[in-house]
Amino acid sequence: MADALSLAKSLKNREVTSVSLVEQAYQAIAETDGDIKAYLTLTKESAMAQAQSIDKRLDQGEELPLLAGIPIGIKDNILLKGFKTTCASKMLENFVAPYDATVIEKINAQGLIPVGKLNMDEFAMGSSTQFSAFQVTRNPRNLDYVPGGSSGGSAATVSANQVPLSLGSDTGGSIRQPASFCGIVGLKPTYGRVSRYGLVSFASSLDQIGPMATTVGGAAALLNVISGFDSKDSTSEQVEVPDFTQAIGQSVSGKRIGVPKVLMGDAVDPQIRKAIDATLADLVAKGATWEVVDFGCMDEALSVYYILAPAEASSNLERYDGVRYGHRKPDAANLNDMYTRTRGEGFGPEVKRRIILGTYVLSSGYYDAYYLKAQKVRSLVIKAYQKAFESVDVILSPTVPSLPFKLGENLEDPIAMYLQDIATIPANLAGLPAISVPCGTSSEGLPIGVQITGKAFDEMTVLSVADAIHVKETL
Amino acid sequence: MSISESDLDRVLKLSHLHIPDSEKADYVAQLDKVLGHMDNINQLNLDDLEPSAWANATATPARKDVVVKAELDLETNAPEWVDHSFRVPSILGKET
Repeated sequence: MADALSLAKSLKNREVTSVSLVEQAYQAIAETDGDIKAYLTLTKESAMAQAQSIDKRLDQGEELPLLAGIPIGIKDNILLKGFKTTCASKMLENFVAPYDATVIEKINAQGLIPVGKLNMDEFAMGSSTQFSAFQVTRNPRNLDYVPGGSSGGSAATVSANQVPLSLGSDTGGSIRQPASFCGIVGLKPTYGRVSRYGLVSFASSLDQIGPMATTVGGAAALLNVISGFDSKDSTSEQVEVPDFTQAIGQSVSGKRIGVPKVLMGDAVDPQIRKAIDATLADLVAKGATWEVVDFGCMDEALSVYYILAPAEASSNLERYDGVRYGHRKPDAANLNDMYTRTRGEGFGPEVKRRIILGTYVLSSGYYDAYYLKAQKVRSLVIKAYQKAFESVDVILSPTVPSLPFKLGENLEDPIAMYLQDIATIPANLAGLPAISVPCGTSSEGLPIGVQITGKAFDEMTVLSVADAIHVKETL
Repeated sequence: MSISESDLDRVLKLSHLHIPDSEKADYVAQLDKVLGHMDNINQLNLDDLEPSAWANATATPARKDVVVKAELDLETNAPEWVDHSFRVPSILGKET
């Protein structure tokens, strides 16, 4: 399937219909998803009805929003009214969303058509989508490899050309890392740019919904749709929402690029380093300048994330107690027995690990040693970015320091899995916008992504640099 | 800092989480490794830093305190729904 902006143009010119695009999406899913396993739920009946309505309005000569009639996939931790929202967990296996998330209200208002709900690591905790309770999603570029995670289904469906757009969520890299592994574009907006209302909470101070797309232009157009203040999310910000598609095709001449030394060292796979060096050289040829920026606390940022995110998760996930919704252990002896066995049965191993870790670092005797100290290091990370952005416009690094790994790898070694996130986590801790765009391919044919991080609410610069980089032939 | 099986039991009680005894040693070993990695934050000088709970320290916007009818359809997702209420096991019940 072509990119979202080309399809939108074809729709506007009546060269294709929305019904044909949605049918094409379901045809592609029928042909390829048996192997890839990106989708947990399909919404065919409602999608076809929505597509027919869009075509009727276009037939009547109505001017519709840019992306009206375009199919889109939705990560299964975003509420889509009337359909299951499972978070890929047995805990929510039969949970039906009673209302739409704000981002769903926005995409519905703009006429985009959700075709289904996408697989993920359980409650968005993971970097490979192997922690889904229901199925393992495979990387469309090579089915022996993971698609990354936690938004692995959202990345795979776009990479497999099932749909041109999807929504993911990013708490420590969960949009950017799978985008890098699957050779697509994935943007984590500034914290507060997009409402989190109706996104199932993982770590509330870090979570952010964002667009995934075949092109930077597609991601920019989808960001236009989902951005904006929402009175139902007190952490969404009342800031101007520019037309992000205006960033596409802009010159990068004069842009100052910072490169953190620590993310270009020996810890980075040589093939990735080579691709990043080539990307940097290309940007310099286009008139940008670059310098090394001092970013001394990258290793510690990983530790901070794996203290703060589990701490927040342990609190957020306490609501799954078997009382009001979700899984309940039958025949419990008493109320407390029901709580503990419901949670023991309903949560998978990675979620349990993080609840235990989060509870531990918040518990009496360990709060100061871990949680409070981690919050202070978070301040250090924020200050490091503020200092860097005094002399540069964006920061460029690999999205992931290593190439995509094979299915089954890293499952028993949490640290190896957590190290996947070392380059993506700092932007979450500092609440900054960051995008992953394809910048090359390894000798094994696996995609390589480069990450561009910008100042808070400066997605325009991030998108313009990303667009200058994006290797168009990757899809 | 390392974690022991008694630490794990304390945390499992706090977090209302049941884990079979046969799996506890694996959890302890994995968490011990993760906590060992986290000790690197102790190398940093944090004396002059304030803790950050959020990245953007802006004021929380207020909204009018108006009741909005929500159709949450509680019955659909309730594990046990009786007389417009969630039914749960008795608090005391049997010993476990």
